[in-house]
Amino acid sequence: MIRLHDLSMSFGTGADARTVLALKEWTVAAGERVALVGRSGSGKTTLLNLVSGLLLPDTGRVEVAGTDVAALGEAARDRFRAEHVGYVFQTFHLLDGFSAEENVELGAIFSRGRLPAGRAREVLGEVGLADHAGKPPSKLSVGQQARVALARALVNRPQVLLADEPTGSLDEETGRSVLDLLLDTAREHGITMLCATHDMEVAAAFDRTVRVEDLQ
Amino acid sequence: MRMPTLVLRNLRRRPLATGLTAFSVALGVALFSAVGALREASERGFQRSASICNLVVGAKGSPLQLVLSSLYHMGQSPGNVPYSLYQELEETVGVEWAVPMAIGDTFRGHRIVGITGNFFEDVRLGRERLPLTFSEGEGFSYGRAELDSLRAALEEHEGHGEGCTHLEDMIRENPGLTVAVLGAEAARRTGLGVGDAVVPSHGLEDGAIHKHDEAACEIVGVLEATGTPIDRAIYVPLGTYYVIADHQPDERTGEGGARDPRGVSGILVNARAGFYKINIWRDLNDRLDAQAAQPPQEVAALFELVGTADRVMRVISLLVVVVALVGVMVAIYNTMGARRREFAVLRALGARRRTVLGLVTAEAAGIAAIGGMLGLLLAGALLSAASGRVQAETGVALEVAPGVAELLLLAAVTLAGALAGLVPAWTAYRTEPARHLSSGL
Repeated sequence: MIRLHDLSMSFGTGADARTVLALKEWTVAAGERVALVGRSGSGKTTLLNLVSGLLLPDTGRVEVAGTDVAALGEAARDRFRAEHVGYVFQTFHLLDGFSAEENVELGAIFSRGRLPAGRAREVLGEVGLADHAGKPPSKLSVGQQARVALARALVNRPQVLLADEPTGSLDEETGRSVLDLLLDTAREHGITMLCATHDMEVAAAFDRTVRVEDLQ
Repeated sequence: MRMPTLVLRNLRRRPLATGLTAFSVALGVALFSAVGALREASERGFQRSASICNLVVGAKGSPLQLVLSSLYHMGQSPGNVPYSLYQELEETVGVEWAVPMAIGDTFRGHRIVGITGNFFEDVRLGRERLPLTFSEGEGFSYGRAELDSLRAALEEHEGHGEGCTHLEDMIRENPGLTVAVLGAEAARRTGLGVGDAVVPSHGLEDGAIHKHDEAACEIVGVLEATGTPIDRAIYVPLGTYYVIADHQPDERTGEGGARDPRGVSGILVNARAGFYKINIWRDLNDRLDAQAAQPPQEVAALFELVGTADRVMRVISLLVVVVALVGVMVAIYNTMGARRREFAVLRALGARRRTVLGLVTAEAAGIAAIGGMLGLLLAGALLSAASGRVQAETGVALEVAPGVAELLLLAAVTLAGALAGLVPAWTAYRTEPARHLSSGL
């Protein structure tokens, strides 16, 4: 499902250039749930951004669901991301002024197909928030916000789910519950999942744990 | 959710900023629209009133003053012309009809206009050439034959030293002299109708109105509203003016000329269009004792005169619109720092750069459009208020229905708003999602 080949990525230019990622070959099978661990600045988030097409590598191929994302133009990458990738951010980044349901709908607004009526509410039901659809994020607990963020990532039935420290801002109990939900949902829908985390206990719950430094 | 919903929702997220910037646009649009529409409606209304006849004949002086005093009942008449000129015009080839007029008296602020009865039959209004109709009663038939006869009788007895007594006898013996027809507005304001009486008054003497009680006129008809100064006037037979005691010639005025009370203040003439009208107009203006004015030209000249002030007002209001649109740009631009994360999220969810650009541009256009619509509503309210005032002052009814011009203005303001939004939209366009998502902004 995901194949990175001869990849290198650096930030800065000239003497200030710093290589963040450099790897020969790395693959993730379809439906596999992989935890990316490593120290801060090791390139976990960069790897997620490369897979989603938000960043372009200096060299190499980033194949996701058979498409070399790095070879696509910017607009095509945006569309690819809208239709094939779901993303859960560390602080969830829900938009104020929109209800939970509308935040979920935002996850599908930029793809070509029309979101079936009731789909956003259906996904909110899957994450246990059917009764909170009309509430704005500010009226939800942090755990509920995490669930809304997951619903937004899932609403468009993505093939790949990316999560960047999804439990980083949650207490242990809530974090565990959100993690279980992430993993169960990915397994249930056969979604390939990459999750960046610094928490080894979280990483242990995944099918495979990869230390980003070891990929270099 | 669709993109327009997203735009509207974003506008609703900042109600105060959206409301204030839209209101500033509304003020500019209202001013711009109201100034332009008021001018156009005024000119249309005045031109409709100018269609009563195609020539106004009167004493030498300002042709505009002549038209305003004769057709619009505004200001003083430039003076009188001899009655014989009316007789001459009646017999001139190409003159379809002529109505001599005398003015000077009033009743409760409404001008009393002495005319001949053919006025009610001959006058046609507007492009539709609509005749005058009565809501109550009918017109009077006092015409040239009666006038000629009355004037002959007055001249015969002039200088007998018993004028006043004699005049009262004449009024008693000629009941057709003391009748009146009210314009619709005059009837509405005075509350009078058929069967009531109108007593002409002349000027002010020692602060008291000088009433001509001997010439109280019974109302025989009330005209339907026309949206012209006719509505404000009270019409009496021209002969009434000649038999009022205070209107008799004396040593100062009896030698003829512009102050001769046996003359007429003006003559409304409708000549056959084209060659005849131009010839009559030219011949009259070659005379030393009279002039002829063409109402449509004088109205156009009047509006050309006030057009300069109108243009200045429009430029000022346009500047208000421009400043308001700059305000829209600044208001949105100031939110850009705080909204970078929002744009980054949208990009991460698959929004293209140009989608984000379009989103911000549409927000600016939306504020401008809301302001524009509000402005047009405000302009409509202003115009309604102004049209009532203009009609009260001039009798001219203004039609202020919104039209294509207002739709074009709204489209132009919306487009200008979109252009103003391009500056902050460019900032949104350049947002790098990976950077702003990971920075935790």
